[in-house]
Amino acid sequence: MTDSDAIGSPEGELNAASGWTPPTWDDVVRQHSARVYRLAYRLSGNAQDAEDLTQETFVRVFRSLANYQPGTFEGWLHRITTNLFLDMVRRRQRVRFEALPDDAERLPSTGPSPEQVYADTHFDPQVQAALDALSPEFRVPVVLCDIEGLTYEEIAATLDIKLGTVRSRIHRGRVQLRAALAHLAPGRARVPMAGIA
Amino acid sequence: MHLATEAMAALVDNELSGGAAARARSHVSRCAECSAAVAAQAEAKTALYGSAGPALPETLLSRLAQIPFTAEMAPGMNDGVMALQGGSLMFAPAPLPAQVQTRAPAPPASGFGRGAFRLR
Repeated sequence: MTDSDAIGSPEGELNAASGWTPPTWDDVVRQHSARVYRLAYRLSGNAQDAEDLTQETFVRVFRSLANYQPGTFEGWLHRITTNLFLDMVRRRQRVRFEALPDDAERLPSTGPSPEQVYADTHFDPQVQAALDALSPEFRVPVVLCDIEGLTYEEIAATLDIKLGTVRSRIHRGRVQLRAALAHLAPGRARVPMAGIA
Repeated sequence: MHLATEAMAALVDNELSGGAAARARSHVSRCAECSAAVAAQAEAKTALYGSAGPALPETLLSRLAQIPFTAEMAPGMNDGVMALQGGSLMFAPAPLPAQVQTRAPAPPASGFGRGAFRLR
């Protein structure tokens, strides 16, 4: 994760003296929206939820700008987005448990077609499907690590879990992800090894 | 003795310290089972890594830009950090906690309520 594009880099701490200009809301949106949307999409697996999560994330940001500490803006965005996603998952699980068996089939199945996923995202639909198959507790750290490029320490801080838990969830998440990929595409070409001798 | 599963992920992510990483690599080079397990971790990572991001829908972008004009704000939110300059909404980072205690009382909420953003 890079801090270079985070707003309010250290020189922004005392803007009155240094002549630093606070960003406009438009700057904030332009600079961070694509990344928030990508994270929301990888976590939720569909465009509608990704849009809702992104919108809600920025509403929260706007409402609590007063709590913003310089230098942590991207971390703050990651934390808000992932927490909103986990809230959404919990809310839907409750709905599912409370729903009558007859109603269960009428709950919306939000999965778009693989063609639609690819058209929307230019992302391998099998990879998104494999991600969707992971339980959220594994999906979130794997996405934060392998797509967002966060360090284990940053993931631990974002999710408020221990470093050892981050390690084991990423390990198990990847084991399941690979199994899901193999199941979805048995003939899938092996990806070349990356830098491990 | 095999590599701990946690170390397998950490090795792929360069999250082991120098000494631990060297020991892990040395073991992996001699152990087919651990070598395969580490390769599987790297494969999963590579499948995710470097994927192009989904395109941000234009309609979403304009909705996000409108948030200052549409978000419901409770009284007192963002007191003292918002200002309109040259017609665009700006904000400054919050003061550090120590400064919060010493700064002057926030201005009345009415001055910074959502009505303040309705310029356009």
